[in-house]
Amino acid sequence: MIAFDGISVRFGGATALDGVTEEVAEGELCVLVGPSGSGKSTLLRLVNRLVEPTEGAVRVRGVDVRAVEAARLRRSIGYVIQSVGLFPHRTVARNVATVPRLLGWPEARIEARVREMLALVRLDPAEFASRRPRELSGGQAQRVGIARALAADPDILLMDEPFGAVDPIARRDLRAELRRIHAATGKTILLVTHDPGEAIELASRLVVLRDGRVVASGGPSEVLGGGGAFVRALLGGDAALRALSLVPARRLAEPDPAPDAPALAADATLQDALSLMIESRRTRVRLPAAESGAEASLSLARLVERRP
Amino acid sequence: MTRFQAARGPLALALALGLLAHPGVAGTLWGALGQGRVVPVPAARLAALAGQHALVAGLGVLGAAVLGIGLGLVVTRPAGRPLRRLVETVGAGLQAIPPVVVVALAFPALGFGLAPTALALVAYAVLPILRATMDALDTVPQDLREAARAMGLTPLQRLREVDLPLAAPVVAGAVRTAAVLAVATAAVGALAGAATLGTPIVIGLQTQNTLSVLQGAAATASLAFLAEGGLVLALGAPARAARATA
Repeated sequence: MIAFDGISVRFGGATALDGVTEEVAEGELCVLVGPSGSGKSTLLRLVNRLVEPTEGAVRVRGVDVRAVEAARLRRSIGYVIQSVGLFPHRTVARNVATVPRLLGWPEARIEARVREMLALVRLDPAEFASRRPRELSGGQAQRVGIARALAADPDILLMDEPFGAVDPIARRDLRAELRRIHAATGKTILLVTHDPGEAIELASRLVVLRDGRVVASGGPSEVLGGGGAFVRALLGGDAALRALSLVPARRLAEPDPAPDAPALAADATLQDALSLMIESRRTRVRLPAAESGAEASLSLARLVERRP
Repeated sequence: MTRFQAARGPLALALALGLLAHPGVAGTLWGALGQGRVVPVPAARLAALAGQHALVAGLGVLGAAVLGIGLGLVVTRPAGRPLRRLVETVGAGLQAIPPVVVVALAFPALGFGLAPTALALVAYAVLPILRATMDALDTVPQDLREAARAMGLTPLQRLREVDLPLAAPVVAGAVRTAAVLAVATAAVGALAGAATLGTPIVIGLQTQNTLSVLQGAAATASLAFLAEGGLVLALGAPARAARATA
């Protein structure tokens, strides 16, 4: 879907990216993570030509981006930034309608789409459509920002530190929202963050950057497992432990009832399972029967190997 | 505060000063103050002068607005940026020259009358409008421009849909201030032979007719407040610059 082919970017004397080759498949939620100055935002901004490569080529949907007129390319790619950038002189509805208007959609279709998008980000259109951006909380504004980015139904969404400016609770909600939207729409999403927790929670693919180079890329567990000292330091020594909280325990359970093992809640995660094993000093925990299924259990060995 | 509420005060003052300039009111007041009997400027004459006065001030502000906003736009575009220092310096220089001097210098080229006065007003009013335009465009938040660019707005669309609407309240405020200054300053056009409300002031000073000076001054002030009130109605209440909240 998106391919970076031998990309170098230099601003004056400074090298922002140095020989980056990466590919992002369709439907992927690819998280670019790295310390500040690692080039992750620059990599993102190459996709919609906000930055042009000094060397190499960027292909989007198989086409070199330089072959596409910048404005047209940008209208086909959603873009969300940390500061949201809602137009303060426009209502929420007009903000969301920005790109559809540029594309010349008929008024009725725009109106329907705006309502649909606000509903998608869980803002009641009746309440929010006619508000001004200054009448929104930070979390609401970023929801509108996401609705605006998705309004013209782009197949690619670029997000540059999208949740950096909202409070922790709103951030947690927005992440959950993004996972839901990603699952529901199947968009290809490229997201920049410097928050390792966010990276691990969201990524279906993780690209770790340092000083303009890719130091590790792949599935999150792959990167965590084989990333070396820098990746460990960046993502935190306990990244693997935290990653456990993202996987439901049921996913690794085996149909092996263990009547005397301590019982987990039905919606427990692997982290809960490990915690219960440590508390109860047992290497096997029991999962109560699901609606249609027998009792199951989970062993420490399966948890460690994470083999379903 | 709505624009109607904001316009009420200036319009009320314009009315009061207009009444004060009226020969009946001014003459009666003069008599009551025991200033002796002098002949007031007739109402019809005053109205005709006010018309000329408004015309010359209007031309001056219009010229300054076109020039100031136009140059402000040019020097804030990437292509025009190198000109910015020069434009600012010349604008500041123009404002430093007193309007009377501009009128005097313009005599040989433009002769007597409205033209040199209007020119002086353009020179005088262009800098505040230019500066406000540049400042207002400069303060459009960077993230908004970035967002607009990233969504695929062309440079012209960004100007029309983001920069101009956000800069407009500040620029409108500067135009309003310039208009009031121009109306007040247009009175000096009388020295250049332009028939304005400055004429009864100049004549009154020469003939020691203080009533005529009073009428001319009151009518000029009335017109200035009328311009203020009218522009508030037309362009909106005094600017509270639009700000990005997020």
